[in-house]
Amino acid sequence: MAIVTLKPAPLIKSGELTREFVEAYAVAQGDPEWLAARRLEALRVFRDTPAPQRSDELWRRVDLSTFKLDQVIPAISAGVSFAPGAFDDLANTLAESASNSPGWMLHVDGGHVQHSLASDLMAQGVIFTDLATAAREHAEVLEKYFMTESVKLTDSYFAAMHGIFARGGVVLIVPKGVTIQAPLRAVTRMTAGHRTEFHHTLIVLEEGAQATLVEDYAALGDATAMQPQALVNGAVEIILGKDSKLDYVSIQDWARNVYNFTTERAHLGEGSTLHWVVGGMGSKFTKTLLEADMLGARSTALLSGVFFSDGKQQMHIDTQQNHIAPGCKSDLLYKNALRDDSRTVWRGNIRVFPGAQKTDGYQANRNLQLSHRSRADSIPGLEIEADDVRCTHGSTVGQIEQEPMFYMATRGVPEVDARRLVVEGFFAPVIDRIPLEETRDRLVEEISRKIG
Amino acid sequence: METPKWFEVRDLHVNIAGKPILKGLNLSINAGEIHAIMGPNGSGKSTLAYTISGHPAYEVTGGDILFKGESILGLQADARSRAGIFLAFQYPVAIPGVTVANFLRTAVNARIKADAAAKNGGVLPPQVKGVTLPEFRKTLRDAMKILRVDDSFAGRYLNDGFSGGEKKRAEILQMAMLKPQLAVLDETDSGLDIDALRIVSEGVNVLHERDQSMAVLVITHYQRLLNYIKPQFVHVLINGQMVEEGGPELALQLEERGYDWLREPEVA
Repeated sequence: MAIVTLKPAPLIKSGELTREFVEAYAVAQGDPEWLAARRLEALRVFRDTPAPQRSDELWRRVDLSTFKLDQVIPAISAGVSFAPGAFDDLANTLAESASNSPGWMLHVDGGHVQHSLASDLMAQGVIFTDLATAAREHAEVLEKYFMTESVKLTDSYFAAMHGIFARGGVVLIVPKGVTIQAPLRAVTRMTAGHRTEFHHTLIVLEEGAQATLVEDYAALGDATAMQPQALVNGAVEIILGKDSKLDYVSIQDWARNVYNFTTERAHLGEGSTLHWVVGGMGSKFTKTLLEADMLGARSTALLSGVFFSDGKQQMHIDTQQNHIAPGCKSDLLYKNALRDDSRTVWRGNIRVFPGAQKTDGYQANRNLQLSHRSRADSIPGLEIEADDVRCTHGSTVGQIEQEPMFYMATRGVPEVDARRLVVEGFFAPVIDRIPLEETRDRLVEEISRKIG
Repeated sequence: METPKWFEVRDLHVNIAGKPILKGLNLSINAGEIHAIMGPNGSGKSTLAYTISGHPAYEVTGGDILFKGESILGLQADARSRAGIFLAFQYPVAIPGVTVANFLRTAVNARIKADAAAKNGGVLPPQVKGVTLPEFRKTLRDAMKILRVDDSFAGRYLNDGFSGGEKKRAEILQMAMLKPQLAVLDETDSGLDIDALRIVSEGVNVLHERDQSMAVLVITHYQRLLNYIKPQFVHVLINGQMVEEGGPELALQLEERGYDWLREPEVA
C-alpha cells in the first residue's frame, strides 16, 4: 500500500521579489545607506521565511485561499506622485480639527503629505515626523530602533516583508522628562486605486516622558466600492523607557478590498505605563499580532480593543501579554460585535516567565453576535512559570437578550434603535477610554452606520 | 356593541407558556383617573401590566385591550409606548453602557419622529431632527429635580449597578420625560424604604398634577403605596379575574382583612 504524504500547502503564493526591485525601491524612497541596507537584509530574511501554512497554530483558523499576493506584489509602486495640492483640502480639514493638538500628520498612499509640530515641543527635542525624514535626519535613533528591538525582521513572513517596503509612517521620539499634554494625531489614507500600504509606527518614550498618539487609518472615498485586492502590511513598534507613560490609539477602517496584516509590539521599561486601544472596523481580512512585553519591573499594560465585523469580513486578532519582569500588571479587554456572515477569532495568551513574581494578569474577550450566521472564536490561554502570580481570564460569546429589548420598547424605542443602543453600550466601556472626543465620535458614528 | 371607554380591558384571557393566567379580566379607566389593582401573589397583576405593554411572551387567547376606542393588540410594544402607554417595571432592566441621558434622548426623539411621521401620512419630514440638546438638557434637569437625583445621574449607565431606590426613581424619571397618557406602575413600592417611597410617589403626584388628563394604574400588593398615591378606584384581582371593586376604603379593608374573604369558596 502506497503511503501518500500530503505536503502542507502555503496559504499564499509568494510574490517574486528581486534584489534589483528592492534597490530601486530604496532609491525611490530617498533612503540613507543604512536603511537601504536594512531593506536588503529584510529581503534575505523574507526569502528564508516560509509563507504561513495552515499547519501553524497561528494560521490554523485562517483561510487565505482567495488572497493573491503574487498579483499584489507587482502592484507595489516605488514612489507616489500626487498632483500638486491634490490633498490640500484633506490636510486643511485635519489641520483645523487638530488645531488644539500639539502635532498632526497626514499620509496618503504611503506618501508623506503634511505634518506639523508645535515649536515648543520641537525646542524640547521631540521628534514627530515621517519615516523617510526621520531616517535621514535622525539616523542615529532610527538605525538603533527600526525593526531591531521591538518588531524584528525575523518575527514572521509578514514582518520581513514589511521590513522591505516600510514607508510613510509615524516616528515619535519623546526625550527624557518631556510631557506632551494633548493628543498627537496621525492620519493615514489610502485611495481607491492604490493597492499596497506599508505603514510603520515607531514610538520611543525616554525616561519619564509622557505622550498620547491617536492614529487613524482609512480608505479615502467609498470603502465598500469593489476594487481589486489590496495589501496592507503594517508594523507598530513601541519602546517605553523607565517611568514613561503612553496612551496609544489606532483605529483602522480600510476599504473592503484590503487584506490587512499587522505586527505590533510594545516593550515596557521599569515602572512604565501603556494604555493601548485598537479598533477594527474595515478591511476584508485582518490578521493582527499584538504583543506587550513587560521587560521592566512594575510596568503596566492596559490593552483595549473594539472590533465590529459585518458582511463577510474576517478579523483574526492574536494578543500576547508577556510578564517577563516581576510586579507587572496587564489588563486586556477586547470586544467584538459581529453581523451577517462575518467571523472573528481572538487568541489571547498571558505568559508569565520564571521569576516574574507578583504578576497580576487579566484578559477578557467579549463577543456580541448580532447574526446567527456569524461566528466568533474566543481562545484564551495562560502559560505560567512563576508561582506567586494572579492570572485570570474570561471569554464570552452572547446574543442580544430579549428583556433589555422589551424594556427599551416600552419606552417607545424602535427595535433598530434599541439594537444600536445595545451595541453602542457594549462598546462604550472601551470607547470611553479613548482620549480624543473626535475619535470617540467617529467610532460611534461608524458603529451606528454598521448597524444600519 | 357598547361604546368603548377611554381605556378598556375586555374579557381578557392571557396564557404564558400555554398556561392560562388571566381568565376573563375586565377593567375600564377614564382619562385622568387613578386606579389601583391589588391582589395576592400570583393573581396575575404583573401579567396584566406586561400584556398591556405588549410583552411578546404573553399570549392573548381571548378578549381585547382598547385605547381610545382602538384595539392595541396588533401594536408592538414600542408603538404602544409611543401611543401613550407607559410601564414602570417592578424589576427595571439594566442597559449596560447606555447612559440615562443618551437613552432618554433616543426615546424622546423616537416619539417626536413618530408623531411627525403620523401627521405627514406616515413619512418622516426630513426637517424633523428631534429635540435639540439644550432643550433636552433643560427638560431632563427639571425631571431630575422632581425625582431628587443629582446631575451625575444622567451620565450613569441606565439601571446598571443602581440601588433599588435609584431604579424606581429612574422609572419615574423616564415617565416624566415621556409624558404618557396612561402610566402603569407595577409594584413600584417593592424594594423601597420609606424615604424613597415618598420621593417616588411625590414624583408621580407632581406629574399627575401637571397633566391631569394622564391616567395612572397602580399595581400593588400592599396598601402602603396607596397612602401616597391616592386612587379613586380600587380593584381586587384574584386568580386572573377582578373579584371586587370599590373606592379607596377597599384598600384599607384589604389591609385589615387580607384577601381570603374575597376568594371563591373551594368547591367540595
